Amino acid sequence: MSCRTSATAPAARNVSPLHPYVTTVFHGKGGESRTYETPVEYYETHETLHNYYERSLHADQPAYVAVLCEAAGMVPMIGRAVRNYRVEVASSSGFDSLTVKYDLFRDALYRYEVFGQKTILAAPRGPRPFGRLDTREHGRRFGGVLRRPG
Amino acid sequence: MAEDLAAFCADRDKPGLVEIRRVALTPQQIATLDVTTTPDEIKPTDSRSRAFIERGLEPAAQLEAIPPDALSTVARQAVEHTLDLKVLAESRERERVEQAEVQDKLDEVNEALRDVFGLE
Repeated sequence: MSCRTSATAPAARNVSPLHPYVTTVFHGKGGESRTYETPVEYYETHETLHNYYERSLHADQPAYVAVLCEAAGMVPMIGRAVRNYRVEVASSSGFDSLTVKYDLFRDALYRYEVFGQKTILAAPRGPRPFGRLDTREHGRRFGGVLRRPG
Repeated sequence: MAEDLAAFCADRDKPGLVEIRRVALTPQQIATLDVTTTPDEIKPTDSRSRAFIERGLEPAAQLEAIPPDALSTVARQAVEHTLDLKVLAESRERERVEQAEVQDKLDEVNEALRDVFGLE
């Protein structure tokens, strides 16, 4: 292990004198990494309340909007494209699962019953040609009879 | 997915509760963006493929075939067309007002805390 000191080392005791200056891997336990010299120093470090308030931009919309992208690898890119609107972007690659689809429906039902919002899912790929719901499986797992629309 | 969600909605007598909008790989985009199609994915003998054709979703193509910049633009425009932009602008203005309200309250609390800690 090699260490060096610096004239610019922080005066606060809540920083280990070793930690920032160790140039090789050093594993240790204990010490005073989380201590403070005075209560004021503690306050200045942690207790000042900062304003992180952001209003939900969906709260006033007539519909809750999300983007479902089948390709999981594209989620970050599309997320950056719509970040300004705080729209959720998710991958639907696992949505062949009946449970996942039902959870999606249940979330939408909750939004409708509590906030009066319908749900619009923008799907870059669009409705898949495959993967129809097995209605018998639905009946077995959730009870009741499932009617197909139309 | 669309059919499955529609079936769930119908089961609860909430038709139209969840709407899925195809926003990319539309036949028009496939043509204008010169997207390579994958016709081999569609087999007329397959019932699922026939449903795909009947719903007017041809031609089949991969999302990855759209250039990243174009896809980002498509996604952003789709969201802009789906959101109520007038309501969105009002929400942003309301956010600014509420942020200021929160800041006023935090300033009061911080001032009280500074007094408690004996800070100027």
